[in-house]
Amino acid sequence: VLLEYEAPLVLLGCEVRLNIGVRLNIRVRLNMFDSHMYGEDGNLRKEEFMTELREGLSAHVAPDELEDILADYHEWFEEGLREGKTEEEVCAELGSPARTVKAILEEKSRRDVENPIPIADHQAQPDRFNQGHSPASAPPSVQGIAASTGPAHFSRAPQALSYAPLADRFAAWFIDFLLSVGPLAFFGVANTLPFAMLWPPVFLFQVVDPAPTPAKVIGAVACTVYFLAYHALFLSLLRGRTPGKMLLRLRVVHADGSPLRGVQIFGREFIGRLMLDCLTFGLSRIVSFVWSLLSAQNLTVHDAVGNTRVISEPPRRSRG
Amino acid sequence: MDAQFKKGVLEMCILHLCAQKDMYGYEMMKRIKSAFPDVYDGSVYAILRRLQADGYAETYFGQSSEGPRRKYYRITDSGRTYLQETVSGWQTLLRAVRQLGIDDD
Repeated sequence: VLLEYEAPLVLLGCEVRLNIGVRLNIRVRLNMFDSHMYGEDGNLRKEEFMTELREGLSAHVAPDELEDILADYHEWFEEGLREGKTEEEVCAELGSPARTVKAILEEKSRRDVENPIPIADHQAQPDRFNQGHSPASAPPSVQGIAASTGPAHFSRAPQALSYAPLADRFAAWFIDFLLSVGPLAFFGVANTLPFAMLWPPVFLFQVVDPAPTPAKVIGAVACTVYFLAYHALFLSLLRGRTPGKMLLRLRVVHADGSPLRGVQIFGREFIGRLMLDCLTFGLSRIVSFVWSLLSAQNLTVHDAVGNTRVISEPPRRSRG
Repeated sequence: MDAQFKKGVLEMCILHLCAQKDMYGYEMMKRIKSAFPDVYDGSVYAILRRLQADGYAETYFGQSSEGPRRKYYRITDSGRTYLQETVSGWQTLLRAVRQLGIDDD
């Protein structure tokens, strides 16, 4: 059933793995920003464990449930670390991610009676000593989870991430584009805007002024720097948001739902966006666009490079 | 022992502990491990999740004084009913086994 295509590429010293399956699952992993995943001895650590868990479950479990499960294991790591264990020790306790996946799916299939999940050595519905129990009839209780969103958003535990709709992201991007490029337009480059949307360095080929005064040169340079640094600047100042994202209630977070880190902003904006844009002459934007249409999490190239996700934030409520 | 059989027993024990007091996953795992040292840790979480999905337990988030946010499990009314049924089924089973001469003393 699976048509799989795997192509390891080496790009900028980073390994890019394309894995195109039936669900068109394209994964790009840049080890450069994940170097902390493994300990120096190469033992499995938390992030790698979580990544493998996510991969193993994503085909079998609804997105909400997946985030819920990951939150449980995140909690487990936190508790273990509090007891003074290392991430490696917790991983050793947990066993391999594959085994964890199997345990979860087995347990899940015990409840999805009508809809058992095929697992390698999974047996048919077992005889249990308790009769008179119909697993499918009981409504799931979700109130605890549902009540948990709110101001506590930035606690480290990942919750079910609500990935931002593409239309919102596009609108936010367009607003940001206008805001970032606005000052430059004063320097007579407005006519190149449509091209700059695809490939920012087009500005560099513009003749700014036939007879530039020093003030104009400084202004142009300042506006260019502002344009180039716009996203990174606001993502750091507004903790994962830009003005456009604020208007659309979007926020950039770590893939596990925790707050964005500095290295991720760098990876996302300078490597994933600016550098790849320049090097691929805008092709990476087109890849991002197509990819985000296909991916369940609306992934873009810069999200993958920075290991980030863009989520929609719920409208602010009064306490309670 | 048959894995599915053991899971049924584990489920009963977990629900029983839940009925004593609300517990978070890690705490539950420690308790279960103290009684069943060879139980795979991950299955405790998996069973808790299923109990929740079946409506026998519900979750809420509690904040410990200095520590992380914890997801607590609390038994529901249908969980208590289910636990009673399960325990009585278990006792019936034990009686039947003993009656046939399998006994530990």
